Amino acid sequence: MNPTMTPEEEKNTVPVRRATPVFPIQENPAPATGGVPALAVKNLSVYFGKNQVLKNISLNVQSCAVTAIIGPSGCGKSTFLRALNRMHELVPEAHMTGDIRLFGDDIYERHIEPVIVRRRVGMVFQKSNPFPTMSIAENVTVGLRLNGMRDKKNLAERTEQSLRMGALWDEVKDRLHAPAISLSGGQQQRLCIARALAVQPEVLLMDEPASALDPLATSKIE
Amino acid sequence: MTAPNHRWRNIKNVLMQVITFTCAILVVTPLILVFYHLVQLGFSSINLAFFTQLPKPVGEVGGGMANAIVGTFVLLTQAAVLGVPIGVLGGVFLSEYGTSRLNWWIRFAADILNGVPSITWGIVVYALIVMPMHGFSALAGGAVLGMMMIPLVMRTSEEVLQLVPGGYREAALALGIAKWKTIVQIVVRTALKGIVTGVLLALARVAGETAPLLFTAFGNRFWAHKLTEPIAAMPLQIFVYAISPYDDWHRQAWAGALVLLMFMLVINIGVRFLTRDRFQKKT
Repeated sequence: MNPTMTPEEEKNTVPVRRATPVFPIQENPAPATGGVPALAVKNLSVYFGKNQVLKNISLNVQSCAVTAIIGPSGCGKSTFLRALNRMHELVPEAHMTGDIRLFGDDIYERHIEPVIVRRRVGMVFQKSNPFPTMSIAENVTVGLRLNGMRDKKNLAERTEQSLRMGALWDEVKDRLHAPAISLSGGQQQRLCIARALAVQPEVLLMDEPASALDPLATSKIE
Repeated sequence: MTAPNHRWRNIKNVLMQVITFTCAILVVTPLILVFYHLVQLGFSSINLAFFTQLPKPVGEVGGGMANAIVGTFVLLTQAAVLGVPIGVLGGVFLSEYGTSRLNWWIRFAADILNGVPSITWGIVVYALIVMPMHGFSALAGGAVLGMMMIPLVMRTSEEVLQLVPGGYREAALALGIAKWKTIVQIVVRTALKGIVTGVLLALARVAGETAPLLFTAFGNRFWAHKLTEPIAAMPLQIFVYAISPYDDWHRQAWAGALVLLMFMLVINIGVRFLTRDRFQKKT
């Protein structure tokens, strides 16, 4: 799905496209690479207030693989993805039951902070959302900087590496300090992907990142 | 083509346009009148002495309002020190943390505070600060203006923070950035221009207050050397001069009013300049 990634990088990312948890879920056909699955979802149910949105979903996602989830609009794809990095907790009335393990670790264990989970499970959203007050380079490194990385050389390396993975480096290498929102829509979305990759997540969730883009921009992202 | 009722419709259309345009002109007219009047009566009395000298005793012509100009800035600085952090952080709470029920009550209280007559603020601070300290003081004046700023700054801060799209918060949290860092580095930074605008407008609003200062800062014809002494302020000085029987003081009052208006004008132009945004929010 992402030809710009080397196999090594792909090992650490599982872009998941479109979730349809209300339909019977099929096990990911990708061959297991041995050991524990990247994500093991067991009996996951998500509720918004009294409304049960996801019903008893179990699914294993292998590492080093791309898993796509397809389904009609409104069936709960995004809700499913957001349960995987605890983003659904931002909605006050949402709660979940079940068990989700990330490389064997229970991400809902009591003393685990959502911040820790989200550092390991990155996310790219449907609508591109680069930070408008920051330059292109600052957008890529913001996750690292706000988590304490100061070394300029290291940050510069990460910037280039992440932008290359997002297939954006050649277009922006001469204007890294231009405002991020001076980029086109497709470039902004690739910037968001680079931003998510920069913190080197073990799993990358992608919630229809190309749905608002034209086919050409889409093919670049893919 | 022309149906019989079409002409009447056109007339109504033009009529409405004329009425709304007239009202729009009526809104602007007072500003022009005030400005024209102040320039006519006050401009001739504005000179270097007005900005650099103390008021002269009655009977002596000349002198200035230097102490009142400085006094107003001293009072506004104190007001900002008290009002800006509390107001902005309160706005952050409303926008980023509070529950909808609690927020409803806080907003309700803030809106009532915004409607409290300024003279009431003066009396309250007189009882809270002036009486225990046994005297009028610059501190009390700054406190009353600061307290008036808090609800103003809080509500505008909340509103501009709410304008920051939720997608930015989600994007930052999904990068594993802690919530408080997300708020400070992403949300507040994105809304900073709006917050600064709200602060400046609140300052402009309290800069012209006279009534609460009558009970607190009290006014002073000389330099105030300590914050515990009464201090002069432009609106107070204008008030005292305007109700005095001396022609020279009247002229100075006009000049003071003109300077105060120019000060507001500068703040407002500054706000326009700040909010012009060059590359922000193309959503």
